[in-house]
Amino acid sequence: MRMPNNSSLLGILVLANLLPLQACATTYSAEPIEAWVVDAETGQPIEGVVVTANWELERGTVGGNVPFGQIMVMETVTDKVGRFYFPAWGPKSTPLYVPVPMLESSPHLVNRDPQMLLFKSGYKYKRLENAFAGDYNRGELRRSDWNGKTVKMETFRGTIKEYSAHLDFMPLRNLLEDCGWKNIPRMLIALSQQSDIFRRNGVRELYSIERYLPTNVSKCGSPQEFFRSFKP
Amino acid sequence: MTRWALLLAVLAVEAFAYEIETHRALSGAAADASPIASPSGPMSELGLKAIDDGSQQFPNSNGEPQIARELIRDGARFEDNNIRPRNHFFDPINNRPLTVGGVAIGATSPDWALEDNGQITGFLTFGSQDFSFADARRYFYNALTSKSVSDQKTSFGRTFQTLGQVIHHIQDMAQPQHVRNDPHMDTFSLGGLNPAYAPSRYERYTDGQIPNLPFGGSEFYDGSLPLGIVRPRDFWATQTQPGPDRGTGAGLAEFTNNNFVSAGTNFLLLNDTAVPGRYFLPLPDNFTSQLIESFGSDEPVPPNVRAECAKRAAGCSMTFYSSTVWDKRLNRTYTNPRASTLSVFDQDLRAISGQVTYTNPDTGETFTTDRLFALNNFNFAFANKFLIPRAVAYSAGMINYFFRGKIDLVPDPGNPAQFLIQNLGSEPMNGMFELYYDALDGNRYQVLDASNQPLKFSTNGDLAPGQNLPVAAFAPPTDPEPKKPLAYMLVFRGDIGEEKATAQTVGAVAAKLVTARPGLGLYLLGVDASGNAVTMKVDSRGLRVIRGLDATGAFIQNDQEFDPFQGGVPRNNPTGVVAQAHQLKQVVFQPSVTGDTSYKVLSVAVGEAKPPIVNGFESLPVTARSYVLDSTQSGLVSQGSGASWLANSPLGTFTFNLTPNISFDGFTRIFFAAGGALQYTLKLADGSISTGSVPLPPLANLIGNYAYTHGDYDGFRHGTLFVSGDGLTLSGLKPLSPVDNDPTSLNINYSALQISPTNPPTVSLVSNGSTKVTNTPEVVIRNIVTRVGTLCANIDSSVMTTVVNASERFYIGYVNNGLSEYTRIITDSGGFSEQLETCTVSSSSYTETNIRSASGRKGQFDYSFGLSYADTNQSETIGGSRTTTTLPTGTSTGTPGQTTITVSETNVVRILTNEAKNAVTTLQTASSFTVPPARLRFRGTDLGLSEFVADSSPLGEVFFATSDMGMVVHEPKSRMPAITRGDIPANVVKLLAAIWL
Repeated sequence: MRMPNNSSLLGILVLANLLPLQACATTYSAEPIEAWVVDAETGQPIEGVVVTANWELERGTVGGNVPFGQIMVMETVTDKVGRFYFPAWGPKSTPLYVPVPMLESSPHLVNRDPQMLLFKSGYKYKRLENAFAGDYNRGELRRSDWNGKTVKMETFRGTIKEYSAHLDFMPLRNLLEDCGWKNIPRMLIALSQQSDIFRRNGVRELYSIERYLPTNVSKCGSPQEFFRSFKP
Repeated sequence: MTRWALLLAVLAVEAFAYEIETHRALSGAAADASPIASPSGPMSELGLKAIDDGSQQFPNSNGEPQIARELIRDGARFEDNNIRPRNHFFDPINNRPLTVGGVAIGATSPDWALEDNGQITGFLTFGSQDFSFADARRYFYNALTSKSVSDQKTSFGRTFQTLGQVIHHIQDMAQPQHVRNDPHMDTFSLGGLNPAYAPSRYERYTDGQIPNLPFGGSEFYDGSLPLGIVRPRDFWATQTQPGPDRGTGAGLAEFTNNNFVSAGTNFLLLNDTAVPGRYFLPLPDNFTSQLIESFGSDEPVPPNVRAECAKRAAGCSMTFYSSTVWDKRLNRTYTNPRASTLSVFDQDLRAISGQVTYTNPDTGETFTTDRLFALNNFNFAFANKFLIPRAVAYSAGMINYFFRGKIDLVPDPGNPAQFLIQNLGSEPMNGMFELYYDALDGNRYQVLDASNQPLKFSTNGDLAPGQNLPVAAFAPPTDPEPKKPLAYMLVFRGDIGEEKATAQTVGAVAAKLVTARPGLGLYLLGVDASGNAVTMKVDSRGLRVIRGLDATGAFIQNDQEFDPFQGGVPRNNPTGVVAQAHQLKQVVFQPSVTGDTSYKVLSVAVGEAKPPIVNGFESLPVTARSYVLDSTQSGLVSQGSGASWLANSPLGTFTFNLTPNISFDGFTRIFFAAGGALQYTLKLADGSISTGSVPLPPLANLIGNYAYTHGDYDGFRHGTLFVSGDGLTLSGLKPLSPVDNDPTSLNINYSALQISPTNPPTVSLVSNGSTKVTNTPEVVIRNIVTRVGTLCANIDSSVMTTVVNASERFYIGYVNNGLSEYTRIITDSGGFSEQLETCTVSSSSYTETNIRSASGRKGQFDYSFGLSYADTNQSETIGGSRTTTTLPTGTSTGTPGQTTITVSETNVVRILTNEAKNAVTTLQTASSFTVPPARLRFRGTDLGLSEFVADSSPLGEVFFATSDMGMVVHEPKSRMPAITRGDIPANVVKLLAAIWL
């Protein structure tokens, strides 16, 4: 058994006394987002692209920022002209959290306000977020750099195995936390269908609703049951 | 303090770090690169499915079921919980954790991640460490030994998650500021009062590059343990003492610290000269200036930036300083052309306004400049090229290190009363082995000894690499009843190499699901130059001589080692080579402990003597030496001559024996089926013995017991009859019928001999019908007949194109869990169908090379070779044995001529598996009545007049070799290494037989 060394404890105590306790909740709102998705080669609008938008809170630590859940998650699908739209929301408060002084900061939005993920089978997935700089938006009203923009999606060129490996990088894991998969059913159905294709071809599957979707069933219920009754 | 001084104060505490999605990507790449992703790797040895198999999930510490790969990736997330990140720093030069103002904020990364310097319990559990390498070992041990499946799954979940958390640390060591004491935290700068404040650019930059990051390749990790890594701590630093010597270490923290600057430890510009900052390495090497036109692929330098640049002497150009990157592990040096940037741009690529002051840390002297050393996207891109592949390589190496213990339990070939525990790793093991088994009740139990104490085997000191630990055979557990008999989880705990157990830790853990059953393998019989027999065995240990002279001239004879050729050497025929040495092989299949199919040989009958050939036929009765698995299942024991096999029944275990009664009568072999009898011995459950015999039923459709082919019980002598795993069915009986010799009419009803396991047993014939086994491969034999010249001027050419197709079924045996057969397709593409002779024949000019048929009967292929041709008056054989026949004058009309016939025929002489490619064939081509010998072919290779030995395992593994060993094909699918000619002792000059048991 080993206790923290004295200098470590001392450091925590000294630094803790330098600053007041920083427990506070922040209230956020967001402006609407409207954008268009086109094929990167043809410039033609792409219909049926599933788009998720998640405003991810982050907690600062001395080792970098770590996610602290989603303050808002939305999902939609592009229409015939490739348009998608997320309405404004808010105000909404962040959860109350008491950070350890000097070692953590309270949950706050950084530049993923929102992070948007775009997926359509056959295309590379697209991840959009605001540009990052040290003086990122610290205000309560959030706006996306992508509002009013046109997003280009590239056709994936490679083997089915390479496509599986590509989609494996899709940063979706944090959206599934705390029953969060219920917020993005269209995306998961699309990925599950893609996963079925991968499995049939002997390629690594992704978030398959039937076979694998990380969740706490006792807390969130059965994903299979949820999706069986889901009406898009 | 000027604005820039303030800015520098802020920049001084910016740190690199990888974000969670980056860690997930790195960990996924590491898992994929590590041996646990291999189908035959540690997962398989533990009886687990693949790491990405969605049907196998374990709960993480939140109770969420996850696949193993995802658990490892999720370690990224869990390791950043609460205030754990304060322990993610390690400065190898000064051996310190994150330290601010001389005050340590947390534990060093290796202390925290490994707990090899003692457990960290925190204060009232706050800040305790439960996911260290030592914890992973404990979870792993619990996963292997816990009683309930639920506990095993929970512990496996913790094992993989904790491994993920440990490699999160290793990846942090590939981030310069984590090894150069640069903390970073977002929000609450408080005017510079918070020394940890510094929102990170590098981590966001790297995170945004995820799909395209350079995750590595074989240059960085080839699946083996990184060189020089012997302790877990070596992944961080191999130099045991802090200080400048750490510059020669091969640990990842040492690599990153020595080769990369960070924002807070960047180069300094003193008197217009770039010098190292806080650390003595890396040194700024050469520099190049470059006018920056674009900040990205489609993002030109904004006009306002250009305007700001215009106010500076350096303009918008950037000066990139290079540095030398020395990889001690790979012993290679590289140049990083963009180690740091000196320009008017800050890290966000915004032009600064004002002056920058640098202070010489040694003298305190200050220098003012309008340029700034900063790290921006241009530097990050190159840092990624070096750091990302190494983060993956060291992470994969750590996973490999965790599962590096390789052990096995095998029968002792020198002593059937004991097993050998093998250390198959590269480091000594010192500790304890334990055995567990899964019972029918769903729980796992430890195997007990005769005193009902847990069975444990101590190494009693170091068990060196490659060394075996002999352990006494033990009684298989019966209560609770095993789920899979003879299957055990062999678990080791203790020291492996420099990884040591302590009073608080289990130490290194290694495990393997093993089957404690008699060790069989591939047996080869050869002879040396003096004609002395040499029996060899190939198993997981490779090839070794078990009887006879070995390559050194030493005579090996171990009576404890099973030798299927011990009862007799089949070398009475002129060459002694037998293509199929066994006449019976009874196999039972069962799901293996690894989820695959395993098998057990219950009996085998081996030919004792090959009879001499008289007129093309075997001249003497052939007997066999039979072996059956003994009642303790410790080995095959002799049952004497004949064909013996075992059958389990509710009454007990039957041992059946059939001695074929075969006589010789000219060209016809006769088997008195009706007079034969099946002998049996039944060991009843109460231990009493019942013996007797049961008459065999005559086979239907026999024509006076006439048998050209192996269609009756005679098949026992030729390995064409097969006994089912339960010993109650003999398949492959092929009664002969009048049309059997007609290749167009091979529609044969197969039969099977069915035994009812009563006391006494009854035997009956059942028809298998003509139902074919599915997925039957087909071997096509083409008899290509070419006719040259003219027999008759008015020959009907249409009949020349008639194609005769026929198919014939053969059983191969029990392969891959089922009775397999193959179909031989015979295609006569030459058109020797009905050929009516219409020539006018002059007796004086006609020669024997004419062929004809007055009756219009079909031409038929002789079973041995060539085309038989017959009508009511005469017969000729084309090829084979040729007779001279002069056709009767005047029986036909037309112009006489002469015909030359070329016949090419392929024959299947041995079928090894249910794949057509594994059929051994001969090719024989006859032309103008010249009949050369058949030429051996295998896998498309013409082997000339070679003889061969061959056999396959019940799993379809193939061994084929020409007797002179000019061609050796050995394709094991299991742990047996493939042998080549070079593995066969040099004194063996010829192979005679092969049996795969």
